[in-house]
Amino acid sequence: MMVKNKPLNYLLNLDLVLTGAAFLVLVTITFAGVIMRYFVNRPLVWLEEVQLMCFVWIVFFGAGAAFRTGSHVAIDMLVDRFPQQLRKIVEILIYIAVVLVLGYFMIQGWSLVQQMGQTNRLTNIFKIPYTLIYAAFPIGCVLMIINYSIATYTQVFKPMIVGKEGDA
Amino acid sequence: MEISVVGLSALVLLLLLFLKVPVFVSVLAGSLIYFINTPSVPPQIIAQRVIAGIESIPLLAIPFFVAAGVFMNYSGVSKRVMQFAEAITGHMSGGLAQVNVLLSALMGGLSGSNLADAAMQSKMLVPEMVRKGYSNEFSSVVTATSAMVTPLIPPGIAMILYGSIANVSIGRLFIAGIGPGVLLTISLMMLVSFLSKRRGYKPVREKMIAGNELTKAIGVAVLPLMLPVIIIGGIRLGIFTPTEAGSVAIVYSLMLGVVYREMNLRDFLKGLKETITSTASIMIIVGAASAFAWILTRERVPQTITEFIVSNVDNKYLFLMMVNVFLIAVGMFIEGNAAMIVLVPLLAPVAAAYGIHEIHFAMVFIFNMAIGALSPPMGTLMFVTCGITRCRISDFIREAVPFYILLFTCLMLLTFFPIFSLGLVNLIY
Amino acid sequence: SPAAPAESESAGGADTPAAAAPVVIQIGYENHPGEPVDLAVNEWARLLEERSGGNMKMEVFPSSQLGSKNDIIDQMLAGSSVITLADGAFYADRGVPDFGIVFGPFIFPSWDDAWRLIESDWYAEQSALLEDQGLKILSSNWKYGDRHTLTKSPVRTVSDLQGMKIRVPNNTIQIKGFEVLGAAPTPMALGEVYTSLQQGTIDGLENPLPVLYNGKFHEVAKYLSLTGHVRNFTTWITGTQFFNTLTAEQQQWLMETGNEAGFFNNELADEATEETLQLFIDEGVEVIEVDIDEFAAAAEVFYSLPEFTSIWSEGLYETVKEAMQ
Ligand code: NA
Ligand code: NA
Repeated sequence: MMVKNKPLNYLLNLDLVLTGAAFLVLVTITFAGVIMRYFVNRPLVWLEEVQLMCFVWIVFFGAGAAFRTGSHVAIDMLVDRFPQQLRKIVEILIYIAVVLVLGYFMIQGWSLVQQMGQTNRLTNIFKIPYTLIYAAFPIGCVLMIINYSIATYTQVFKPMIVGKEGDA
Repeated sequence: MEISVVGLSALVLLLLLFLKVPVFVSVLAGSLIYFINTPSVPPQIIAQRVIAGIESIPLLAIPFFVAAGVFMNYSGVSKRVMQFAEAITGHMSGGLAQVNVLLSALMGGLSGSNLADAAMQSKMLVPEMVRKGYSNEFSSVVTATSAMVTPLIPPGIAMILYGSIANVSIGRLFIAGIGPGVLLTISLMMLVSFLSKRRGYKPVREKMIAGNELTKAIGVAVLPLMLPVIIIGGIRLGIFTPTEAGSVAIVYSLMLGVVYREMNLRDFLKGLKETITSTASIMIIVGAASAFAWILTRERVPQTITEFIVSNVDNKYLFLMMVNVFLIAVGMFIEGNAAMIVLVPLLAPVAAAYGIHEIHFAMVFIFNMAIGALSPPMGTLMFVTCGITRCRISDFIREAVPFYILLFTCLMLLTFFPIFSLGLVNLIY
Repeated sequence: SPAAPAESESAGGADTPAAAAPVVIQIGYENHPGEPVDLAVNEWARLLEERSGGNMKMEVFPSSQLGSKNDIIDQMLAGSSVITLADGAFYADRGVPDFGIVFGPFIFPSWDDAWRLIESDWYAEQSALLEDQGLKILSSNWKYGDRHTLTKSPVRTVSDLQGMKIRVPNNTIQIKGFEVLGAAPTPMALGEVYTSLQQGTIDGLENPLPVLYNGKFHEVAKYLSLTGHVRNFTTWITGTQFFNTLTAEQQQWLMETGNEAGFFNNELADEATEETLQLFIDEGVEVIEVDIDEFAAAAEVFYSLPEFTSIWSEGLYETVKEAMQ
């Protein structure tokens, strides 16, 4: 999916830059961990916590991008058999439902992040605040809502509007 | 009383699932219904359960092997491996499909994760199969079904977990898994051969290659073929864990990309992007599913049904059949390892009381969980594969029917003939 | 007592307002069904229901079914009615750094020293500090067991440990506790330990005997050194937020039955330790009696590591040693 607006396009791909970097860090430290444990006999004790942080970030920041590339799985067997009018209505309802659910999770994710802040929970070795790790969740929900809205607009609503204009 | 809330949650989940709402959102919506209606649980716990489902080191194998599959495609590794595989299997009908099955059995020797196996082969093998004329849905189903072999062949996470919960020797469970693993591998190869003949996936050559041609085929693929050697060797020598093997595979295929000069920076970035979107779409389902499983566990749904079965059945074989039906149903909604943690302590002692051998029961249990991972509505293996290959779920399920029949046949053999689970164990111990 | 079940049944069935809406508590822990802790928790649940006349109920979730220890602690901090098992090493990470010392190597010469410590003023102060962090200790008299070391090659002296990769839980106290003995501590998820030991990725692990036995690690590591580096007593906690919603009477029922179940647990734990030791021997494990004094002496530097002295109260080691007199 492409958005014509160039600055917006850059902004939208920021998530991929961040997750890409997190993934490279993840592979590098895992590989380094093998070397350090087997060849140097000094296991990296902080490995696990950094690996998990990268993992959580990759998943939740990447989940928004996955809407742009259409990677999220859905079961389409019923809806695609509906008559066209009904299908459009259902697709609008689906859109509303998805945004509501993701909105709820954004709010609860944010409460969890606030709790991490209040109780000052840190990782064991590097003392990384859990606010930083768990923040990926509510932010990811926001990114998912934005990306999903754009994807739905270009795939569902825009053809509908264009289609109507074509009919006229 | 809380059971009705759980029922409503499950209903909402199923409704949205079949109305084309993304799978993970449907599952999250089901969980949301529960949290809204259960004031005694602080609602932010729902976010914790989703994140907790992802924060697991063994699951890191998924992004690693997804990336390994992706980068093997871009670096020219897959192409060479496939040329080699085709040279070896070209005389068989459905040669590449056979390769797909065999590769899972081989992968089984180093990894315990069926999801990682399916993810990697969906990335690496399926595009190649489609290019050679196999249908996408057939390739997807073969990939997903054969991934079931991976946790059966040692090592497997499921057996380690089962052994430590039910107090059964893990070493013996490992050995016991080989029987069902080989049974499944061979019967899958037979089914694939049969279906390929019917579909007209013809052999590309008349006879198996030999002599000079074979040497040449090996020569082209020698560096890529070193990868399994490095991985298996590395794990066996204790250099790295199966999870870490994924990162080694990535580094090696990137190195080969440099050697072959087939991968440029652009390909690398594209591969990175593919890795991330695939990983995110798989893992967010895993996270959502684990939140839902937490709800079912907290409300003691599986526990209650188990108690019902146990108190109403008094025949050994009827018990086993009920367990089969129940476990497949559970496997459809709860990830296998999570289900095992809850159910093994409840069911294993009962099985023992019926005089069912502990290892026999363990194999039946583990096989059931594997089937559940392949079945709608929430089979994780199915979603992982379809997510990557872009196969429609409806096409997948239609194509999978003969495979389901095969799996149930295998399950019945395992259930009623303990020899499949116990034969090797008795031979060795 | 034989009369007890009937009593609780009649109380549960009574039509009093209390019986209509009992307080339901979820208790979650890592141990699997059948282990001493699990059996004792079930006893606690039984005692509590009986003592409160059905007014309080405890739902039992073994095998980390409710989540990891840290997850459950976060749940109680959010206000959930949950209880979990945790110990000093965790409280150190939850804002009470001094608490970590109870997990230091060889801090307790005997179990009696540990039991005296939990009755001391120092311990009460630490518990109060923990309450300020939102966590209420309900019971501290639970013996989790002596932590011993299971390895692939024999460990008879401290020098045998040199460079050995020993799996430890992922916290600074246990990592440093093995580092001072010359080992290469390797944090790793318990689920990965079996194959890692089998393939030789790591050389050993440490835990109380029943946990070592249930994980079947002795199938792939044949030497058990009775190092007893940590006398692991453990505690049950809940959130102060939930605890304060209970009446004084309910609070007392909960805590006193917890302590009674603790004594029940300790008997089971001693029996299980003896049984598993015999099982290890029967299954071909070489059990090695090490010179504890040698190990304790080597571990002494632990208490002057800057990682700890910089966050601990001054003279903490001496304070604690005095408190257990
Ligand atoms: Na395996
Ligand atoms: Na396969």
